[in-house]
Amino acid sequence: MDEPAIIRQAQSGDLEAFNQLVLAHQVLAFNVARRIMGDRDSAADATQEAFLSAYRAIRRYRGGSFRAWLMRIVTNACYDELRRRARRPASSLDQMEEQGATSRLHDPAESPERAAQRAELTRAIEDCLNELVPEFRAVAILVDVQGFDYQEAAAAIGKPLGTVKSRLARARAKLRDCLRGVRELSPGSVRLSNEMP
Amino acid sequence: MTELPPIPASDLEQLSAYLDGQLQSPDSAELEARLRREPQLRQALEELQATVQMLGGLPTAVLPRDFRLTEQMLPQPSTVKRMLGIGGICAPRPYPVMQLGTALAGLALVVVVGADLLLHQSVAGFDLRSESAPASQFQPIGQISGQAEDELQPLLQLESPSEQDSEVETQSSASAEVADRAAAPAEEQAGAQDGAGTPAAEFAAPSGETREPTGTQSAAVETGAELAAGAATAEGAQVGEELTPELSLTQGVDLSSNPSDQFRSPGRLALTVLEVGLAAITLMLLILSVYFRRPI
Repeated sequence: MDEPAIIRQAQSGDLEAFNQLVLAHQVLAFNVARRIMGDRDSAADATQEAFLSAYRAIRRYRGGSFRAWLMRIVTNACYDELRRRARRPASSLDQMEEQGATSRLHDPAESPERAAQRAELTRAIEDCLNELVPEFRAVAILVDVQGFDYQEAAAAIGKPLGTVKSRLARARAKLRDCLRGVRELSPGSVRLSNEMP
Repeated sequence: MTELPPIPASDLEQLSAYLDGQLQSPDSAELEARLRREPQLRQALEELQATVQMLGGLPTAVLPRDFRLTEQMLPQPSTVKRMLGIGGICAPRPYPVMQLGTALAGLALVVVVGADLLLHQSVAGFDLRSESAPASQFQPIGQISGQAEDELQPLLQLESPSEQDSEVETQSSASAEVADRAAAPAEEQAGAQDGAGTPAAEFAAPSGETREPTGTQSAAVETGAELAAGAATAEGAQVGEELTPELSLTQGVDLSSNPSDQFRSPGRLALTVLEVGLAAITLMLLILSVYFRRPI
């Protein structure tokens, strides 16, 4: 896939070209949104809104890492949604539904006990992520979950490299404290799978 | 795993960067030396490493739907944008243009309001100077009008019906004197006598033009030398022609009003209209700027 050529076509208003970019990056975009938002529905809404914003703004893309540019739009969309949510707190029913969705993950090849342990570990990590302030959470997700390097993460959050380093260190330290009990309780044989709902 | 004493934030940052290979070589070597000497620092590094591994092992979320865009999902240009010929992905961005226009209109408004204030202050100061130095050469129009009012007092007095008759009698008697003196010498002396005529005679003539001569004056003209009276009338008419513009100027200006009020028209009025117009334009551009602003 010749991404720069597709980007140029999308910049000229070619919707099909832009949708090729959506196909290439929508998993990443949704996963970043999912981790930042904490629930699938809000993450889906934020992702869709981010792609619409990206389509409107793609003429302003001036090179560099396209996925970092796109993730900046995604994180901004998530921040906007979190601010709206702070003004209008979600109902406990939404949280129960989200917890139910998390617990539904299973792999047909693994035993129900292992699937339950893995789901619990995943939820514990996500709970710890959700305890971080959104700015720290976004850096931890980009670098530690999605594998961005520092430069890309800096471009994605629109902050200097030093800010990424310090935010990441503080986020990791808080996550370490939060996950200490989880690591002690979880059996060593339990490993997180590569897929979740 | 035992509880560790909190380590400094600077050490945490170094450990975090060290995990990602982002620490420079001198700092990296120094940290490795410390890790060999300090078990609590080593334990902190191991915990951070385990945390990063746990985060990296989080499963990938399955997409709930396809996020590709359709034509129906694309924002349609609003009515205002269509009217302005903007909107769509290839349209020029209106927000910076509106921002620039708002800034320029606001600047122009500030300049005009400042000029208005300065002009107002200078007029107020000018009025004070005029009151303290009435003989100034640069008297404002109102002051000049006031002076002209004094000079043209006899004419203005004629405007008053109550005083008109007695004044006209005096002037008519003066005219009669002129006529008598002019009638006594020869005809050629009448011109000289006219030149020495009193102001009253000069002012009487124009009034005689605008009003019918009253009893005494008519009698004087009839009983005196007609030539002299005619000369006096002609002279009076000439003077009257000279004074008429001043009279009309004096009558055209309201002498009883505040002199500074006269500066409002038409310059001040135009300035005020300009201020209101610029304020309206600035406000409109500001509203459009907010309207066209995009979240990204």
